[in-house]
Amino acid sequence: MSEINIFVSGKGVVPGISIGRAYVVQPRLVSNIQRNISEGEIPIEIQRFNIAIDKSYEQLEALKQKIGDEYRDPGHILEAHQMMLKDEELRKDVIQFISDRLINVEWAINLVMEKWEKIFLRVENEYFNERLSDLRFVTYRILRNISGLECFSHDPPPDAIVIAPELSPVETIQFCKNAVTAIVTEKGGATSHTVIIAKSFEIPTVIAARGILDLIKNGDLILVNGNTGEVIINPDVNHVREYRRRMIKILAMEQNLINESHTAAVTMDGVELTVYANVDFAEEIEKAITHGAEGIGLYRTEFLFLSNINEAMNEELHFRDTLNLMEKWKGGPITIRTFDLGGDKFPTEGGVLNEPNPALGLRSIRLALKNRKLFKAQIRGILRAHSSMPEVKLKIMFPLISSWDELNEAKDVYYECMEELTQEGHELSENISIGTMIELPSACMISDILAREVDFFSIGSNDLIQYSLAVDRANENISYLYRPLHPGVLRMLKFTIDSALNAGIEVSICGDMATMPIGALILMGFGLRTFSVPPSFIPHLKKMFRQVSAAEIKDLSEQALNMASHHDISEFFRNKLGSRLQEEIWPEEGEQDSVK
Amino acid sequence: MSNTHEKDVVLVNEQGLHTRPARILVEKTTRFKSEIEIILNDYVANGKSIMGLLGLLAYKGCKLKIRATGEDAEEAVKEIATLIESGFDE
Repeated sequence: MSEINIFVSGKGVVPGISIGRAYVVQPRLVSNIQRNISEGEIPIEIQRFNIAIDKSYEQLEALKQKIGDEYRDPGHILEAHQMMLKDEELRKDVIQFISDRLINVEWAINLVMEKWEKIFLRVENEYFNERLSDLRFVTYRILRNISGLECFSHDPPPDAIVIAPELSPVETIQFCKNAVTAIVTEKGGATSHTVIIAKSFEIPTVIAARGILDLIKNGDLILVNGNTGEVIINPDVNHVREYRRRMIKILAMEQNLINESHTAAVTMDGVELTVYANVDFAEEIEKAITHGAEGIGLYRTEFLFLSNINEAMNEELHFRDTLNLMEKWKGGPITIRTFDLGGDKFPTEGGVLNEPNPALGLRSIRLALKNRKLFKAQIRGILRAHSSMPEVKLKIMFPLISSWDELNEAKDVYYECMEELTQEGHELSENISIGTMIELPSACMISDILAREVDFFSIGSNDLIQYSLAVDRANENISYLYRPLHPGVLRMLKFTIDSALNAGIEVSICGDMATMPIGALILMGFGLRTFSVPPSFIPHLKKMFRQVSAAEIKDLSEQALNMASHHDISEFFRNKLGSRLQEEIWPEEGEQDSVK
Repeated sequence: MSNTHEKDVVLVNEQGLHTRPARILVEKTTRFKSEIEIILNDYVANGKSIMGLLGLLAYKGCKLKIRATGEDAEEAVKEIATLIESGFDE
């Protein structure tokens, strides 16, 4: 009898829960015989190469036909591998090594691999490693075909859980087509093609499960949790029962969320809430649409500035990016935040700034106001793009505003751009509103004054909490002090929301606090009606809002304002709502703080 | 003197010129008769080779030079520039 309940922990990359039997994949052999050849053998070696290439190409073609058009990403990855097989450069290299060095094709392929390894690894970056692993999978296939090893194919039973050192995209496709119930690998990066494929097929996947191959044998019963990365080998009855219960629950919940994410979030007492998406780059828009976003509450533009500051000086870059964004997004308003960069990431005329305390230094709007040309290039680009699609409701906001003067200085730059463009003959649209981020304690406390100057507020809770509590969230010595429910923070939020409501301007939040159940509820209790969160949170947030009464939450939130500590507030909400919102909101593991 | 055309473009893809856009780019370049080179700083890649393009390690925001030499060079540069600037519809 094997040992029961062996826990292995990896990284969950495709969510879902599975129960199945282990199908262990051993590393495959690759022929590696290296020998010198005579000149007369050159054509023979080249011929061996050609045959292996054709064979490999056909194998990938057959697999591509098998998966059909239904799965786009896996098909594209296979096509890329086919392209690598037929690559001119690769082919030239192999033939050159064979003929110049008089070596066999296996050896030549190894040398070519080494050459490209050097090329790919000259810059360190996870994405670049992924290209190399694609190349490896392709060359291994060629080598196996040269030696005739590639006849063996995997054929796991449909309830199998695949356990492997690592999987090539091709193997992953084969397994997914065989309807395996989960995949666990010892190695692997979260951005790998293997993970993309497993996601397309929605097969729960755990990677980086170190040591699992030493603990498991074929046919062992295992439980896999793709959400948490937990794997249990030879589980006992209780664990199996628990996993079955969770599986049923997750299925029901997912179905529900998908069905409901495209209708508005209305509370039990009829208050309608709006949920927008935070979008980092235009590519994320598709996800925002499928997850029921009603607008874009935060479009970050920093990436446009990071690589080449001279390019960013060119308003064309901003024009094209904004146009692309507006064309892709067909829906509610779009909120663009002007660049919010730290001085440490920003090359200026005197070189990159080296400040003793960058968080309190020349950053964000301060940097923009010191680099007018750059700031204007961005605003002009955005305005010009909008003039060609004036039907889009566009909102522009400034980050890190700390005072009335600063806000007006930023607004002056904006009006200057408008004036210039009008003089240059551009027809600008009126369908734009101007707002400010509220993310500094000083801005909160004068929000009643700032509200007279803008059309909307967007609360940036991350910075607000960090600057109010003097806590760097990334510093592990003190990160426990980062407390969104700190009564001091809540009072500032309440004051800010009141200021906006009294002035009759729009107010929303785009920080992480909106992804935390209690945080989002308290903000709603304070009168906030618009929330902007990363797309994957939207269905969860809407669902939560539908299950509560706005009047009750308002009452609870007002009581919370008089409590002494974040702990009391958290307990208070859990006691009052925990039993009702248990299924959707309070995470099973109890430690995570977000709605998801 | 052969017919050579050039144009500089900015790569907008979030993950740079990775496998997916590189594949799309090769599909485009191989349709032209001209010789095509994609250049990043000193690194010159064969525009019809997916390996060459991946080996550029082109990252988001970098400036790529497109150079085509041959009878359809002008058209090639124009179409390739449009494709790169469009972000490969990612």
